[in-house]
Amino acid sequence: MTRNTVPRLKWTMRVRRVVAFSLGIATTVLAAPRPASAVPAFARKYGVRCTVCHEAWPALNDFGRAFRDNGYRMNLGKDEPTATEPAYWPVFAAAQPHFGFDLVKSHGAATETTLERNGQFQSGVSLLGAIGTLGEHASYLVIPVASVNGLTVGFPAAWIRFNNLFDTSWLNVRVGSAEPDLPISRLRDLDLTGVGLGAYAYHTPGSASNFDMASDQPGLEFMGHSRGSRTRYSVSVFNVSGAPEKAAAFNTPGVYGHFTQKVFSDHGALTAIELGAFGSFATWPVGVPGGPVASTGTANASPGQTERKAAVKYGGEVHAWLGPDALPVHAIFTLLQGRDDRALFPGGVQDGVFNGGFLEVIANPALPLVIFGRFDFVRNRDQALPGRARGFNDQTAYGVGVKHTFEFTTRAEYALVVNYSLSQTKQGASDGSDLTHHSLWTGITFAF
Amino acid sequence: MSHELIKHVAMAWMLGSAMCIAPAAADERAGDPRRGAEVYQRYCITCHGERGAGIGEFAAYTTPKPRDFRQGTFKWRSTASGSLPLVSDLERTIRDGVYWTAMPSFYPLREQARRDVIAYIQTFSARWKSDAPGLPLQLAPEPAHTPESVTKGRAVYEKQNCAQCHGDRGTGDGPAAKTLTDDWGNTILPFDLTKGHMKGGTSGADLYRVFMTGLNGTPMPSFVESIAPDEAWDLVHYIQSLSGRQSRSTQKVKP
Amino acid sequence: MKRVILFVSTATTVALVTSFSVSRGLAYPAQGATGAARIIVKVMLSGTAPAPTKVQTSADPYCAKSHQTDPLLSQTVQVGADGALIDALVFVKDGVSGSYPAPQTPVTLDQKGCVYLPHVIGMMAGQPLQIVNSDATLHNIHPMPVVNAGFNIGMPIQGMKQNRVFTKPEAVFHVKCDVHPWMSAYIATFAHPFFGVSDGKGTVELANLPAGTFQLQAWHEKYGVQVQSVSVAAGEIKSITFTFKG
Repeated sequence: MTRNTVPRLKWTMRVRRVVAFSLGIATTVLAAPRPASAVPAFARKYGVRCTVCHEAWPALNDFGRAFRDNGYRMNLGKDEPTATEPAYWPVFAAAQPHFGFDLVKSHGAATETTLERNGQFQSGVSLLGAIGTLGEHASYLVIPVASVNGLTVGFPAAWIRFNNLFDTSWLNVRVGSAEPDLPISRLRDLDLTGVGLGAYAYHTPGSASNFDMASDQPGLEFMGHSRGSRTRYSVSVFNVSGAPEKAAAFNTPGVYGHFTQKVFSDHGALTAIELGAFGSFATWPVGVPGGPVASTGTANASPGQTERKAAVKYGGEVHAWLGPDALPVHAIFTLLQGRDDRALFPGGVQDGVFNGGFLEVIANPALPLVIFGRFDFVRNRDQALPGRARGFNDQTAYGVGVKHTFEFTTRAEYALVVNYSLSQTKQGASDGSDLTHHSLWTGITFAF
Repeated sequence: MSHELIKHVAMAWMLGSAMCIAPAAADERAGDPRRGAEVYQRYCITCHGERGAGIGEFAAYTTPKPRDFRQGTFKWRSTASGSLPLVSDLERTIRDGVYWTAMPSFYPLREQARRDVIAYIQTFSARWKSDAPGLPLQLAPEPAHTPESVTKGRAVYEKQNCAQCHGDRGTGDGPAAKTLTDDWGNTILPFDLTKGHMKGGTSGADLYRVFMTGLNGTPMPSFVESIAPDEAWDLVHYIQSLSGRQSRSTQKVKP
Repeated sequence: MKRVILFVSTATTVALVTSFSVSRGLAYPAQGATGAARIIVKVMLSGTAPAPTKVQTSADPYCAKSHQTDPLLSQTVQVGADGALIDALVFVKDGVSGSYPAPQTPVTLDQKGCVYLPHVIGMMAGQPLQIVNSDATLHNIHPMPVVNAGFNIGMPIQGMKQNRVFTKPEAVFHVKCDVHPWMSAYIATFAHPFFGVSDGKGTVELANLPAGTFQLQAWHEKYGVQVQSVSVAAGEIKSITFTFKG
């Protein structure tokens, strides 16, 4: 096996180019930090340690993804509750006590103003959940309690999944509130600052739609995979989470689809490539045209006279794995385009269109050590509201971090994470100046 | 003879002799034990332990125990009783896992990663240097799976006295069942053939290999000296018919 | 020119093949010495012999029937008249070197009446072992060597035989039948022919020894191992005794 150092040189050059971009753009706080999901309940049940399922916990490797696609089952006769020791509890808990430092600045033409500067010890995201199999054909997840920096969220996620319907791995149905099947899961994101993956939640500024592709969506997911999950598809049908007027089920329907194909390679250091395509179509209620206009994010002006308008996203992803199979370097590049219907914008003159994406690189040079970096961008192409500069609210973000896991056992795990991110939003401040947000996260993540 | 012909013959002869002592062309798909050590640390160590002795941190909490690699004793093989397995036998076990046990199926991994870890596992026992696996068992072609075959298979089951350990109905409760121990002194039970899933693989060929090569390290012998190849397939069909009756698993999707 | 090429190629081939053989160690080792000396070994058990224990064979009706009138006694400790210890393996541990040809007459191990006969076997590495099932029940022959390759073969048919070979010298290893847990035998393989198993009188004769000093070892399943050093001149006959404490 030859050691191929060429890809690494390419990335170094790419990083240098990225850093050379002018830093004139800032961003406001994006989505709240999400739980880092590693589940030692499975480690205890099957006698495996974190590294078996997680490439760099919580990001999954092939084995972990196949395990998850099978309904969190090994499919070797020891998955059902009746095949497990009665003393086993499928309960897991996770927490992330840390020191967080945030610095938000606005950059006017001549001046730079510090809008926010605080550093404090925080509890981060903590959660308690249960996950596992209910019987031969069903698996479940329940997270009854989660809190983010002390703010409790009740029942953030619960679902039941019917596995291998008609004895085929190509049909599994999940019912409940769950994150759609994304190129990079925000639940299993290495970056803990909450910055990044902005394209998932982004809408052209002024859009009424608050649809966040990476939020838990209540509905159904049809999912199928080949053996080993090299080919996968997922179609979610849901009621858009957070939409107003929830009087009827599927009041504001949405659909998300994702298809991926992974191919192994024996050429030099490249061990695998994965290609994928995804898209979402999410409706949002708006007022009747010509009548009272719905304001962003609140209840509709005239109930019963609402229409649904769609915000659409579509894109593709490329993954590459290089180096040793067990200590890979994993690069993920995702590009997407989003289009929000004109009617979603009060006073909108055209559909809002933006391009976005991210490039993430995860390196795992030794089992306990993970080094990760990500570059995110959102670039507005067509502003829907008149008078807006084309680049208004464009976002760029960079993140880098190191994670060192102290112990890997079949019971629990704990790690030290140091994570820095920088996000820039063009004209993101209230006075129209660019916004910069530095975020530093240092702390321990642990899961039991 | 012409000058040219002699020259060609001589060149061929010299090249031929040189090739006899040249090392065999390196199999570029052969495993790399250094890479295999990394794979082992990630996936295998909690059961099989640091030195492959089968005493990883989870070993105390699972039955059957994880394999001790130091003796070169392996159950699921296509080679004769007592022999080392072929690399492809080990690859099959790692790829498909072992049903009813804690050994997962590593199908999602790249094949080269499995070969690498096999090369690393071979470093745990000196037997891989001193012995060769020998020729694999050649399976006779499988005849039709008919009720006649199943009936003949029952006659084979009786003639070979399988019931001594596996019981008259294949439920693993024969008279000798309670005193069996494996090579490491652990209590071991004869397999309950009615469970609905065999351990070492689901195909008829896997079952064929089990009783024709035996399971090294366990009391399960090889019956290659007393079962004829056509009788073997009848016995396979009979054993497969036992699974229907009180099957405890309906899992049909491969891990 | 033709001749030159032919000569060079032949010479090269011969050279290559020879160096290949030598580098692979195909040169034959020196022949082991033999002579006319003999050592007559007597193995004794001091103290009172333990009472023979009966073996429960009810798990297999065939075995129970074979021992209806004549109960099966444990083979672990068998003592003859005057404290003679039976089935002790005696052999030369040190003092002989070189290679000795392995006889091709097989040693027979019989499964009869649900016991192994004989209970203890000394044989040469490379000598065939013929395993016989004289019983009408399933036995599996399951030797567990460490140096040699073991095996586990089912023998369900009365009268069936099979030949096996242990190719390497090895200290005593166990043979078991998993179907009948009381069945037990021991085998040791040697690179030389100077070994024996004590008979009903507790006697072993080591014959055809060359002159020299030899380390003799006596092994018993229950009473362990004892060692004695013996020197014999050419053609001399010596007697020694091993006494195990009961």
